Amino acid sequence: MKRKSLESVIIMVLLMVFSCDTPETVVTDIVHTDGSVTRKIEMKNNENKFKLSDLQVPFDSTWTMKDTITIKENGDTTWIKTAEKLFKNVDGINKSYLEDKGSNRAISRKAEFIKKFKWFNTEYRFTEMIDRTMSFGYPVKDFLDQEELKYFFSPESVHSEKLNGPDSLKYKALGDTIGKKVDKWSTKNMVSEWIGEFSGLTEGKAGNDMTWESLKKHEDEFVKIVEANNEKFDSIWAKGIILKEFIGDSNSIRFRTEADTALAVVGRKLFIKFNDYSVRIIMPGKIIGTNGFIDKTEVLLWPVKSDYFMTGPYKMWAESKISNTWAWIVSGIFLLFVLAGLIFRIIKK
Amino acid sequence: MDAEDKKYDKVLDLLKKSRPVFGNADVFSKKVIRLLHEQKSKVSLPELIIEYLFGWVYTGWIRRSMVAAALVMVVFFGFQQALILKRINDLSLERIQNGVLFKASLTDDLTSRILEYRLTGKQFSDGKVTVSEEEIDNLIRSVNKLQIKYRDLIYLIENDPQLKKYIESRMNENRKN
Amino acid sequence: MFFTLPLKLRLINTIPQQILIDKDIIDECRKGDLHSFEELVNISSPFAFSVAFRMLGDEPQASDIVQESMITVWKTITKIRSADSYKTWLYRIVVNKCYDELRKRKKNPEFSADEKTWALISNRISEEPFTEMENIESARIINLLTEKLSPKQKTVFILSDLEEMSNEEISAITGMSRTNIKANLHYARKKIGEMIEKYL
Repeated sequence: MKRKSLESVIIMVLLMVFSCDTPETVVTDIVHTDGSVTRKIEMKNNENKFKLSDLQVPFDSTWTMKDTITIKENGDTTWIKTAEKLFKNVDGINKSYLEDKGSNRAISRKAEFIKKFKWFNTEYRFTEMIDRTMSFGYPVKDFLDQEELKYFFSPESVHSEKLNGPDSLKYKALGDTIGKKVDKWSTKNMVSEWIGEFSGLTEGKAGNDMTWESLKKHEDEFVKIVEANNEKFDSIWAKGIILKEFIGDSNSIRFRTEADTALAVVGRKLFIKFNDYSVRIIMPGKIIGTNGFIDKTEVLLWPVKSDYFMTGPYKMWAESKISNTWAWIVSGIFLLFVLAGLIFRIIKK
Repeated sequence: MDAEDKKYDKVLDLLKKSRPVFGNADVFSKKVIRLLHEQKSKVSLPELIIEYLFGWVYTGWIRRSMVAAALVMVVFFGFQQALILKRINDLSLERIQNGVLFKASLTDDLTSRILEYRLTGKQFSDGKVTVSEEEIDNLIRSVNKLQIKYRDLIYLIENDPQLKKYIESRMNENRKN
Repeated sequence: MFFTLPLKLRLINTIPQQILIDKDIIDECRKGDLHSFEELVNISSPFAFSVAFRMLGDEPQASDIVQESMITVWKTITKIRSADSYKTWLYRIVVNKCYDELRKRKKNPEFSADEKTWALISNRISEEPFTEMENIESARIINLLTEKLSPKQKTVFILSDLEEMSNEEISAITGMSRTNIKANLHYARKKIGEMIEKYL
């Protein structure tokens, strides 16, 4: 017990140390009309410690670097490291994602740029998408209502504002509710994913009671078992107690290896190594649509956390338009020409 | 056949057979050609240009096609702009709103004077402050509203043990800080 | 055969439905060939004059109308697709111009019987053998008979009973419906018949 307490403390300390080392990172994509993208990475830290090889987005020596420092009135110093690179098109960004060796290399990311000429306007759409990590999970919208979803996907700045605002009690309660529901959602995802992985590994070897469909029917029971044994899950699983309750004595002995493998896979997906960051997109022209947050300075912002793409792809998109002045002029001249012709005809009659 | 009908037919027959004679058709046609030549030479350059530019109006199918194209363009423009405006309007509603701070329902002048009074250590340079009856009424009304709200809030808290416990713990934390 | 007959006989024997216009003349005119247009004017102006003169009863005015009509035909020649549609097109222009002229004229509120003209009619219809009337005589008679008719009724009467056009042709020229044409014609014939009964 003492050893276990010590281990827990060490893990917590290590977590704290590592999380302190991860700077606050904002990635800004400045999209240009020709499809090129200037990507800027801004990292802020309380110490002059930046581990560039472990950045949240792909980075290499071709980037242009700059360092600045800000000192607040109370004497707090913030070190800011900025990196910038111009990508000729989104293919360059996608290629860098494929070759990523940074801290978030385990996830699959993609950028997309679409330009549509619509005569009077040209519309641009830029999307950054992160593929889901789990194959058998449930969408979070099945567990949270509209208001909760909005709060769940909000940036930290919004959370702080709400919690320090006049309705702080309400948002504190909301946050607590969301926390409980997210725990439930995570548990259900874990069980569902395990069932999917396990039935895949035992396909062809097991009987009808071990197919994906039959295991799925008992999913809610499995969830209850996991929740009931949440505190000591690791040790009870190691002893095979939970597995026996899941699939029976004989099956648990026969398919122990597959069960452990499936659990390991689920664990990697659930606790995927991912450093949070924020994404900003600056579009050419006037914004006409987005699923991000717009603050009063017209900046589009998305927080990126591992929960967001656990069971479904996380899409960050923005659409903008630029008026084609020449098209307006040509159309105006054409309309005037037709009108003049009609007036001319009336006069001649 | 009636005698009248016979007379009618005879009169008609007379007129039909006596077709009007058009004398000097050749001279007439030459005159027409001459007039056309004169008209052509009288046409000025601007008129020629206009006729050239707008000659299409005389051809039915070209005229109708141009008008249809113009109408389609106008409708397309209207539809596109309406769609974009709607999207921009919907977007503006999604904007993150800053929290609205509670504002006392006192006149600005009185608030600033009270603030000054407190800041100067409850002293005024001229030794007194003048407040109008209306400002006093507003002040009393605001205090009443605050009292009602406070009473409702206390009632809510008292009737919810969990909430009461939470508030008490937060208040204790704030005091310690 | 058509071009060797004397002019008067040519005019007597030819009816409007058989205006012989070569398709090539129309094509050449559309290309801007004034020489071909001159030929076209030669062929069609007598028939245009016949309608205009009968409608207006005045030779110089009718001549002016025909002149204006031919100029209009030249300006809008591109709209004419075939020789068949040319005849209707020409008549439409002439009839519209005459109709506008008729509407401008003041209607005589009080009709007074022109005894000389009635005597002329009486003499002519009892004449043996038949001899053609001069233009002026013809005009006097038509004016007298159609004095009480509206411009529409007069137009329909002249095109139908004097120019011997079918209701379809009249409808294509005037734009009136066949029912309307029948009604106007019936009224015109009735009025003229009453006058003939009364004064002849």
